[in-house]
Amino acid sequence: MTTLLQFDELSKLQQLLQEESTPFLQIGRKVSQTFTSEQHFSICCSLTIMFREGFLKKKTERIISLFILFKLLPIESLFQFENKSQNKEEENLYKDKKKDNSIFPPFLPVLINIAQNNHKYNENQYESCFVSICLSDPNSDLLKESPDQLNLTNIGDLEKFYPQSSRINLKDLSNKFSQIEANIPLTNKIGISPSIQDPENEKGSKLATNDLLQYQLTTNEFKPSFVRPSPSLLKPFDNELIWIDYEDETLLPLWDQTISIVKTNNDQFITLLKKAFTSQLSQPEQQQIIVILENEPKILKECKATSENITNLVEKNPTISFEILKLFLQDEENKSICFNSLLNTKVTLHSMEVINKLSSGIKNLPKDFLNRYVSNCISSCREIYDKYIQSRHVRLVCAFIRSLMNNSKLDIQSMSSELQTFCLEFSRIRDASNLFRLIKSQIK
Amino acid sequence: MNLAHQLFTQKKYNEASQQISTLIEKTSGNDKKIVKLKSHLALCEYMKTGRTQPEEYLETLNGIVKQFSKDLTTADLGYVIYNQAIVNYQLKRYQRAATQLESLRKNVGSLDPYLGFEATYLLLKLSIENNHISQANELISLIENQFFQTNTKNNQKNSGLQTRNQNKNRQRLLMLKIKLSLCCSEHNKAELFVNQLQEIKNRNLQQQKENQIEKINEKTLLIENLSLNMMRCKIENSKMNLEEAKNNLWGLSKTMENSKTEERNHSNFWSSFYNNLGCVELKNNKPGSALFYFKKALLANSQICKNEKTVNNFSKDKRSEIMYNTGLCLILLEKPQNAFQFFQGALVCLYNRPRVWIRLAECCLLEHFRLTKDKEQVGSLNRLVKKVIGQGKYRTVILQTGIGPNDGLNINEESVSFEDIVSSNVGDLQFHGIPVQSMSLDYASKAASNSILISEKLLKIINNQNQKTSTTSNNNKNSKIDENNKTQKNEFKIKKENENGIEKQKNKEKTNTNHTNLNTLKNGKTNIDLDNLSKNDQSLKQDLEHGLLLFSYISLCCQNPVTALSSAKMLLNYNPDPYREYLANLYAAEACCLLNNPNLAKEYISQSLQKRRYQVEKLLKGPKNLKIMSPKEYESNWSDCVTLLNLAFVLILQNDIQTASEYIKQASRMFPNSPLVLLSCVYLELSNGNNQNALELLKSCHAFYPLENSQK
Repeated sequence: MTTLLQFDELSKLQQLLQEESTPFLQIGRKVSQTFTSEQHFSICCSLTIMFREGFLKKKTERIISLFILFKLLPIESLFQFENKSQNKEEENLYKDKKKDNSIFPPFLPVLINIAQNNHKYNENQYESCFVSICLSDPNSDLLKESPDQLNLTNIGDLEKFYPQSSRINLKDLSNKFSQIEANIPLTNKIGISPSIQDPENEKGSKLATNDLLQYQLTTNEFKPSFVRPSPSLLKPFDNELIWIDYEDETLLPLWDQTISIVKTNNDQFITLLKKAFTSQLSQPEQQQIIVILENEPKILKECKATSENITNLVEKNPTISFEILKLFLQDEENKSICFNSLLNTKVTLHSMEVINKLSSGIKNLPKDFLNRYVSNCISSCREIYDKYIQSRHVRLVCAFIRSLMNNSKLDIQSMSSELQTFCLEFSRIRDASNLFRLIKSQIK
Repeated sequence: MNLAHQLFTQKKYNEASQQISTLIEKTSGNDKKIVKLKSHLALCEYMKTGRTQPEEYLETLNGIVKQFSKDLTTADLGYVIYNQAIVNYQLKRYQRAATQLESLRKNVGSLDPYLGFEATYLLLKLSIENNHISQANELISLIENQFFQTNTKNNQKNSGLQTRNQNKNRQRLLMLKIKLSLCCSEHNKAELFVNQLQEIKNRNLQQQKENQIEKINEKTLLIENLSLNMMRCKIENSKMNLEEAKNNLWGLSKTMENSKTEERNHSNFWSSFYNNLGCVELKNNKPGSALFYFKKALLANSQICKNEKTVNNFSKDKRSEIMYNTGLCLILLEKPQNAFQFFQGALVCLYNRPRVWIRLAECCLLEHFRLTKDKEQVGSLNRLVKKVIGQGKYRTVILQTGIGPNDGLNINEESVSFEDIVSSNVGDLQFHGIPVQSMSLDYASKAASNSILISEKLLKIINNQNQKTSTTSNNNKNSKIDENNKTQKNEFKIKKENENGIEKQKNKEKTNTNHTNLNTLKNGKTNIDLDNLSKNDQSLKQDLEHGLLLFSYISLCCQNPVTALSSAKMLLNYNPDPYREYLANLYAAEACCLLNNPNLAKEYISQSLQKRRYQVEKLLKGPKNLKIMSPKEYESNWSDCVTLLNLAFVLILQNDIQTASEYIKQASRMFPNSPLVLLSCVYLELSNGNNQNALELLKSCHAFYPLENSQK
C-alpha cells in the first residue's frame, strides 16, 4: 500500500492549512508555488480524506482545505461544461465524450456535495456557503480576505458575498454529475475507510498527526472483492511429450525422368554400342557410354565381342575403345577374340593409339601380343608404296615403338634384330635413325 | 537428357547444368520440355551449392510455376511443385508444404506414379506430424489403393515403380503406419505393424545372405527406427513397462556406440536418444532426471546447429521439440520463468500448435500467482489487519486494503533489447539468437488468444473433413473447402513473438500482426461442432476450451471485463466440462459486476451453483502421475463457499446488505476460519456501523495478534 503523500509533502500541506492570517488568494499562490501539477491529485485526495475522516478539527483548517480543493480545480472546464450544456446539439456531442474524465474535474462532486449541504462530510452550513460562493464567482471579493478575518460562526457575514443573482445552479450541476457517476463501476463505490477506532482505555497519548495520517492517506479502501478462482494447469495429454524418431531418411528434390522416353541403361548402352561398331559417335554419346560403364561395368558382360565389331570400334571410335576393350579383356571368352581382332586390325593412328593406351592401362598385357603388333606395324610400313605416306607412317610407328620402350612394355631383346632392320631400312627418316640409336643404347 | 541425369547422379552438377543449358538453348516451343529442363537446371544449381541456398532455389521454382501455370496443368508442373514442397518441408514450413502437396494429391491420377507416391507419402508424413489423423488415414488408403494394388490394371499403371522400390516404399509406409497408430494410442495395431516390418526386414536380410551381397551387417535406418518405435510401443502401452523401455534405449545407444559406421557421430541420433530417455523419465514421474536428459539432448542437438547450414541440417535440428519437452518438465517442476524461456524457443517451429501458446500463457499465470501470493496480504488471517497504531484511547486499527487477484505480474510487456535476446541464458545452456519476451499479463493474453485462434482453425478444418466424409462428396465440395481454408487463413493471424536468424526463413509463413483477431470472441458465438470429434481431436477441443478459460481469466486480471465476458460466454457455448463451466460462469459473473450489471452476474453465479460439486472435485484431482499445481481454492467444498461469497458480493453491489449477510453466514458456517469469509463478515459489520462487532470478529480469529506481539 503506497501512501498518497510523502512525509515532507504532508508537512508542507499542513503548514498551508495553518495560514489563518493569509488571504485566500495568497494561499492559492503559495499552493501553486509549493506543489507541482503532478502532485495536485495526491493533494486533493489527501484533503478529501482528511476532511471526511475528521482529521481537520479547526474551522480555519477546513475552510482552507476547501479553498485549496477549489483552487486546484481546472475551473475553466467547469464553465465550458455549463455553457455547452445549454445547447442541445452540443450536449449530444458532449455525451459522446463523457467518458473522457479529463473534462470533469474529479473533485468537483465533493465540492458540489458540500455546497448542497447534504454531504456527510459537511458539519457546517458556513462551509457550504463558502464553497457555493467560490463556485459561483471564482473572483469573489471573499477570496481577498484571510480565514481569520471571516466570522466563521455567522453565516450572515458570508451572504453579502453571495448575491442571489449570481448564484450557481447546483441542482443542474449535480444532475449532470450523477449521470457521469452512473458509469463508475459499482465495485468502486462499495469501499469504506480501512481505519477502525479501537480505544483500549481513556489514557494514552495521541500520536503525531503526521504519523497517523501516513497510514490513512491512501486511495485504497477496505472492501470485499469478487473471489476469482484461478484455472489450474492443463493436464498434459498422452502424446504431449514430443518423442523424436531418429530418422536418417534424407528427402531430396526429385529429378523428372519423364522428360524423354526413359530407357534403361542397358538398352541405351546396347543401342549406343551398336552404333559405335558401325559409325563414329558424337562427343555426348561417347561420354554417355563412358558414364554408363563407370556406373555399371558389368553391363558389358551381356555383350559379346566379335572380331569385326572390335576392328570397327577401334577404327571409328578410338576414344571409347580403350574403356570397352579394358572390360572385354577381363572376360576370358572375349579376351582371345579381342587380341586376335586387334592383331588383324589395320595399323593406323587410331589402332596404335588404342594399343598404346592398353599397354599403359592394363597390367600383364601379353608381351607376345605386343611383339606381334609391333611386327605388324613394321610390315605395314613396307606395304606402303607412296613415299610421302610411307615416311609419315614410319614416323608414327617410330613414335609408337619409342613410347612402348619408354614405358618398358616392349621386349627389346627378342625383337632387337627386327627393330634394327626396320630402322636401317628407313634410316633416311630421322625418327627411324633416332630410334635405332635408342635401341642400341638399350641393348648395351 | 539422360547424360545430364547420369552426370547428376554422379554428383557432377557443373557438367550436368552445362549439359542442360545447352539443351535449353536448342529447345524452343515445347513448354512442357522447357519447364522440365529449367527445373532440372535449378536443381543442379541448388545441389551445386550443397543445398545451402534453398531460398534461391525456391525463388526459381516459383518463377517457373508463375510463368507456366496459365498454360500447363498441375500434373505438368508436378515435379516443380513437389520440389517446392520438399524444400518448404525441410525448412519446416509445414503449412505451405501441405498446401502444395494437397494440390498434387488432387491430381494424383494424372501424375507420374513415382511422383504420385512420393507426394502422397510426404503429405502423409506431414499429416501425422501435425496430428491430422483423419487426413492421414485417408492418405494411407489412397496410397494402398493407388500404388500397391496387385491387380493387372494397376500393374500397368505402376510400371514406373520398380519392384525393389516398391518393397522399400512398403517399408516406408509401414513406418508411418506405426507412427500414426501410436499417435492414435492404438498400441496393439502399432505392434502389429512393427512385427510386419520386422518380418520384411528379416526376409531382406535372408535374401541378402543368399545373394551374398556385401551389405549384410550394415545398420540401416530401418533397424534404428524399428527399435525406437518398438520401445515407444512399450512406453505408450497400457501395460507400461518404463524400466524395460529405458533399458532398451540404453541398449540401443550401446549398439550405436559400438557401430563402426559413421552413424556413431550423428548428433541427431544422440539428441533423439536423450530426448526420448527424458520422455521416459518424465512418464516415470521423475522430472528432475528428465530435465537432465533433455539438457543433454539440447547439447547434442547444438552440434547439428554448429554444422554447415544446409537444408538437411536445418531439418534435423529438433531444438524446438526438445525445448518444448524441457519447458513441460520445468513447468511441472514449478519453474515457470525457465519454462517460459524454453517454450519461447519451442515457438520457433511449433508456433502453430495451440498447446505451446497455452503453456506460455500458463507460465505467465503461474508467475502471476506466485507474485500475487507474495503480495497477497489477505492470504492468512493474521494479515487482515495491516497495523495497529496509537495507544490507549487513540488506538486505531488499520485494515489491509488494495490487494487483489490483479496485483501480480505486470500487465504491459517490456521491450527486450537485442543484447538481452542474444545473451538469453537458459539455465546453464546458452542459446544464441533465441528471442525472449518478458513475462506479462499482456503477453499471456496474446498467447491465450493465439491458442484459441489456432485450435479453432484446426477444429474447423477437422469439421470440414468430417462433413466431407459423411456426405456424398462431389467436386464442388472440394473447392468450397479450399475457399474455406483460404478465408480461414486470412482470418487466422498469429502474432509472431519470436524471430531469430535461422527462423527468418519462415517469416512469410507467420503472419505478423500486433493485434490478435478477436472478432470471434466479441460476439461470443461459435459455429464449430465439437460433438463428433475423434478421441485424438479431443485434445484440440481441450486446448480451445482451456485457451478460452485462460483468456477470460487474464482479461479480468488486465481489467478488461468486455473480453472476459465474451470469451467466457463463448466457452459456455461449447458445453465444456463441469470444472470449466463452473469457472467460466464465475468469470462471466465478475465481468458483469465490473460492467455494472449485477443482475446478470447473479444469473451466472446461480448457474455455477447448480453444477454438481462432486463432478468438479473429481476433475480437480488432476493426473495421478504428474505433479500438477492445483490451486488450494478448489479443495473440498470450497467451490460452494466461493459461490456464496460471490453472491454476497453482488448483493452488496445492489446494496442488499441483509441478504448478503445471510449468504456470508452460510459461507462462514462452511469455512469459519477462511480469511476471505472473515473479510466479508468484517466488511458487513463496518458498513452497518458496528465497529465493535468487527473488531471482536477480528480478535476472535486472532487476526492481529502477531502485530500486537511485535509491538510489545
